[in-house]
Amino acid sequence: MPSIAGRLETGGKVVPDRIVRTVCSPNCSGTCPVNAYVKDERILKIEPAAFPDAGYERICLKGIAMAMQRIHHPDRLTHPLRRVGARGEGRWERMSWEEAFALLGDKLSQTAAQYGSRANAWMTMSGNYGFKASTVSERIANCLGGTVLSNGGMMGDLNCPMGYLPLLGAGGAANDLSDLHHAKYILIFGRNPADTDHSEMRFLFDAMEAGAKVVVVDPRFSRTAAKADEWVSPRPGTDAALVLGMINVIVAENLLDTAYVTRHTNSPLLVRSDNGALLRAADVSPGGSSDLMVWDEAEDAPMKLNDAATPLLRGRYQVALIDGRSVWCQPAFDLMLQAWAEYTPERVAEICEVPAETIRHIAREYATSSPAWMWVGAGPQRYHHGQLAHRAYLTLGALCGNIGKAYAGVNCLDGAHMRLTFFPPHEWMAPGGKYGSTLPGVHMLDIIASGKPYPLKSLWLTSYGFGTQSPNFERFINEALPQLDLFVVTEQLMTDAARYADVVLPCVSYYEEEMDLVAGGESWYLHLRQRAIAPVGESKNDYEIFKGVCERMGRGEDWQMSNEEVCRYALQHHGDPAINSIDWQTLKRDGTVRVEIPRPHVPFGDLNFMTESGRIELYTESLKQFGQAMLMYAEPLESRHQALAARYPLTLMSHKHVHSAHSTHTTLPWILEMAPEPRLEMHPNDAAARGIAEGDVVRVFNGRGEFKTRAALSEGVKPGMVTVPQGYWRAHYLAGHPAELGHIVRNEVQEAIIETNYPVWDILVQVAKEVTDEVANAVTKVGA
Amino acid sequence: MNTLNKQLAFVIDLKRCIGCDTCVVGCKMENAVPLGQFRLKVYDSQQNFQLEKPVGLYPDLSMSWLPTMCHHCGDAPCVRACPTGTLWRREADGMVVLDRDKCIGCQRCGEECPYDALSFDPDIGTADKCDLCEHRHADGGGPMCVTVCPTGAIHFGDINDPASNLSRQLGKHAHQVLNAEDDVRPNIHYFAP
Repeated sequence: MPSIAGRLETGGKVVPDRIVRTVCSPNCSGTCPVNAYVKDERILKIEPAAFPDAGYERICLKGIAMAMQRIHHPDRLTHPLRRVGARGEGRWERMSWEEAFALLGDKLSQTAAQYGSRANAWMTMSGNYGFKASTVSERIANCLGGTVLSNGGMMGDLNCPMGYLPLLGAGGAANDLSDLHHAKYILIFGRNPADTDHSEMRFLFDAMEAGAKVVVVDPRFSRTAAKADEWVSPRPGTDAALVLGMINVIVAENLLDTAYVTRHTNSPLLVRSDNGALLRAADVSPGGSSDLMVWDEAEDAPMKLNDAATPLLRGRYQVALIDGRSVWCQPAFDLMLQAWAEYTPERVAEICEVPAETIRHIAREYATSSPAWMWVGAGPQRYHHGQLAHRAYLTLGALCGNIGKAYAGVNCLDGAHMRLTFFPPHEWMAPGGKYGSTLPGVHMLDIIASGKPYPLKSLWLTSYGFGTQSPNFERFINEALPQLDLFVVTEQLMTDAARYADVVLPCVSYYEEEMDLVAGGESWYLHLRQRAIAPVGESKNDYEIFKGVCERMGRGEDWQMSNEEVCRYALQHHGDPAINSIDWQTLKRDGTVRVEIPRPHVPFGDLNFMTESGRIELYTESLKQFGQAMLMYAEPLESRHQALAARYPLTLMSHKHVHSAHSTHTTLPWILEMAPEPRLEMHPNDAAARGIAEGDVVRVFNGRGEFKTRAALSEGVKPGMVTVPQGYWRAHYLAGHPAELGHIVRNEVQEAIIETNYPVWDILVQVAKEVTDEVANAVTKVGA
Repeated sequence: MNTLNKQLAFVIDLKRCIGCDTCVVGCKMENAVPLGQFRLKVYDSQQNFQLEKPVGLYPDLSMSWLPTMCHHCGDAPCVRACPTGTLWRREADGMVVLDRDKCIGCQRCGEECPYDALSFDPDIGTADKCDLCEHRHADGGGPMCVTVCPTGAIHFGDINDPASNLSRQLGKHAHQVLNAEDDVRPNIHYFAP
C-alpha cells in the first residue's frame, strides 16, 4: 500500500484488519503486553495492552523499533541458506526446507555415527525470550543424545545464584516490584533500570514521590544515577569491599539487628580453631549427631543450635572433645568480625575510591531505614569474583535483619520467567527420560578447539548473538570453527556469527510465532505470545525446525505436539506450583495472568532457609577449602591496582543502554537515529593525558585484541575506566570489536557452586589516539 | 463556571523523564514520520539530541532531559509568519493546525518558531509538526507520546478545565514554560527535573 512519495502507508491513521494482543519479548525481560495493529500481514503500530496492574501498561522505543523495523528489515532472513563459498565469505545458496532438513538430518546422523551422538552440540541464549524458545534446543540435544552447552556462565548471569545458593539455598529472590512504593530507602547496586528496564522506572518514581530515598551504586553516571538522590561511584569490581566498609560501620556503631543475626543466621555456630570446621554434637559427645553446636550463655556450655536458648555471638570458648583433647572454638560471628575488621571506611575508601564519609552515611542510612529495599542488578555479575559481591549484599542485608522482611530484602534475579524456564517439565525437556550430555558453554571455544573432554563436531546456535555478545569470536573462527564439520545458526538477521555458518535458518520473530509462554524477568505475570502476522518469508520457529530435522532422522515421534499443545503441556506439568496452577483457558482469554504468589510477596518470609542449618549461612563451611568460608574481598582479575596496569591502565566496561537489549536493536534505523555509533566514553582527564579530543578515532587494546571507534569525553565516566555502549555489531566499529578484548578464566570457587562466569568487565586496556590516514597523509606532506 | 475556551496542552514532568526517547519513536510510529525527521525530540542538559552527557564535574553531576514538540502557542510566531494560511490557531481547542495541502514549503515557520518544532519533509516539500495526534481524539485517545511514555511523565488535556487531569497535575507542583521571554503563550508546561 504505497502512499505519497512511495512510502509504505503505516501508523495510526491506517485502518487495521485486526488487532492482536501478544507480548513484546526480547531479553530486556520486561515482557510488555501489546496490541499489534495489523493490515496486510504488516504491523501498522503497537500500543500497550490492558493489564491487571495498570503500572505495567507500557511499551518502549526498543519494542516499537522491533515491531516496525526489525520484522521486515531489508536484511531479514527469509529462506534456509547453505554456504557455497569459504566460511565467512558471504556466498550462499537458497534451499527449500526439505533440502535443509535432509542436509542437517543426514549430517547429524553421520556425525553421531562417526564420533558418537554427543559430538552434536546445541547452545541457546535469550533472543526470543519465551518458554519454547528458551528450552527447545536443550530438548533436541536430549532427544538425539547430543550435548547441551549450558548458557548461564556465558550469559554472565551466574554470580547472583553463586552468591545466593551457599547462603540461602536459593539462586535469587525478589519482591514484587509494584510494591516498591512501600520502601523508605532503596539502595541500588549495579542496576540501571532507567536504561535497561525503563518501563519499571514508574515504580521507582512512585516510591520517590512517596518519600523514599534512592541511592545508586554504579561506577558510571547512569540514567538511573541521574534520577537518584545520591550516586556512589566505586572503582569497578570493588563492591564487596564497599559493603565490608558499610558492615564495619554498622558493627562499630551497633546498628546490627542482633536478635535476627542470632536467631536467623548461622553466626552463633562454633567454629573449631584447629581445623576451621563447624563444631558438631558428635565432636563432643560419644554417639552424638551431626547437629551444629553453639555456646549457650545460660548453660555456659556448648549446646545444639536448636536447643540453645541463649546462644552467644562473641567470645572464645574451650570445648572438650570426645577424644579427650580440648579445642578453642569461636562463634562464626566473632571470627567474621575479626576477618572483616581491616575494612575500615578509610581502608575501603582507598580500595573503592569512594570517600569514607560516604561509606559511613550510606551504612547508617541503610541500617536505620525501614523498610530498606536493596535492589541488585546484573552489573556486579560481570566480574571474576562477582559471587563475592552478591554474598556481600546478602550479608549486609542479613546483618540488618532485612531478608524475609516485607518491602526490604536483597532483590536480585527473580520473577515469573525464572520460575517458568528453570523448572520445565522433565518429559518436555527429555522425552522418555533420555538425557544427553552437558558441558559448560562458557568454555565452548576451548572445548571445541581442544576436543576435550570429548570432540564436538557440530554446533547449532539459536537465539544467540554470539558474534558480538560473547568473547573472542575471532579466536572461535580461527581455533574452534575448523574443528567443526557443521556450524548451524538459526537467526532473523545475518548476524556476525551467522556469517560464518555452514547453514543459516530463518527464524520467526515473536510477532510471527504461533504461540509460546512468556513471563516477566522481574514481574510476576505470565503472558501468552500469539501470532500477530504470518511468518516472514519461509521462517519457522525453533520447535518446527527441530521437528523437521528429527523427522528426517526417523526420530519425529517426540515432536508431534502443536505449538498450542506444547504451551498447555508446559503449564499442566510444570514443576513449579505457582506456574502449573495457571488456568489455560484464563490465559487464553486474558493473555496475561498473575503467577500465584502472595501479596505482598516476601521472599523467605517464613525465615526458613533451604540450608543445612535452616538459617542464612553467613559462615559457609562448604567453601572453606577455597578460603571463602567467610565473606571476603578479592581484587578484580584485572585491576588497575595491579602490575598489569603499567601497560593497560584503564578498566573497560560495556554499559547497557536504553536504545538496545543486547544486540537486538542496534541495527534498526530509528535506534541509529538517536544512538548512531558506539563511542568510547572516557573521562576528559584520561583523554587529555592521551591527547584525545571529542570525536577522535581511538584504538582500544590489550594483549588479547583491539578495536577502533570514536571517543566521547564525559564527566559521567569514573576516571580510570572507559566504556562502550553494549550490543553494537562489528560493522558499527571502525575496526575489531570489544568482545575480542575479553577473556574467560576458570574460577574454582564458581565451579564448585555452578560454573565459571564470563567476567565481562574484568578487563584492562590501553587507549591511544589513532592517527587516521588523512592525518598521516597530512603529516607526511608537511614533512615532505 | 468555566468561561474560557478549551485549550489543549501538555504537562511534562521532567523529574520522571529518563530521556529514553520512547515518545520520539512512538510519535514516529503513530504518525509515520519519515527517517531523519521528528515531530518531537528529547534533548539532554547540554542540548544534545544524540550522545548525551551529564553536566558538572565528576562526581558532582546532574543530567536531565527535555522532550519538546509544537507548543501550540496562544500567540504563535509560525502562524504569524506563514504566508499562505497553512498554519492557524483553532479557537475551538487552541491547537495550532497545519494544513499540509496549502503548504508551499517556504519554511518561514521553522525560522520563526522559538522551539524548533517544525520539521520539513523534503519528499513532499511541506512542513510537518505535532498535531496532538488529533486522529486519536475521536475515540477518546490522547497523543501517542502520552500513551507510550514508560514512566508516565507526559500529561495531556484541557488546561482551561479545572476538572481535567491536566489541571490536577498542574496544581501539584510549580511549573514553567520554555523561552518565557518570547511571550508566545506556549502550551507545554514543565515540572522542574
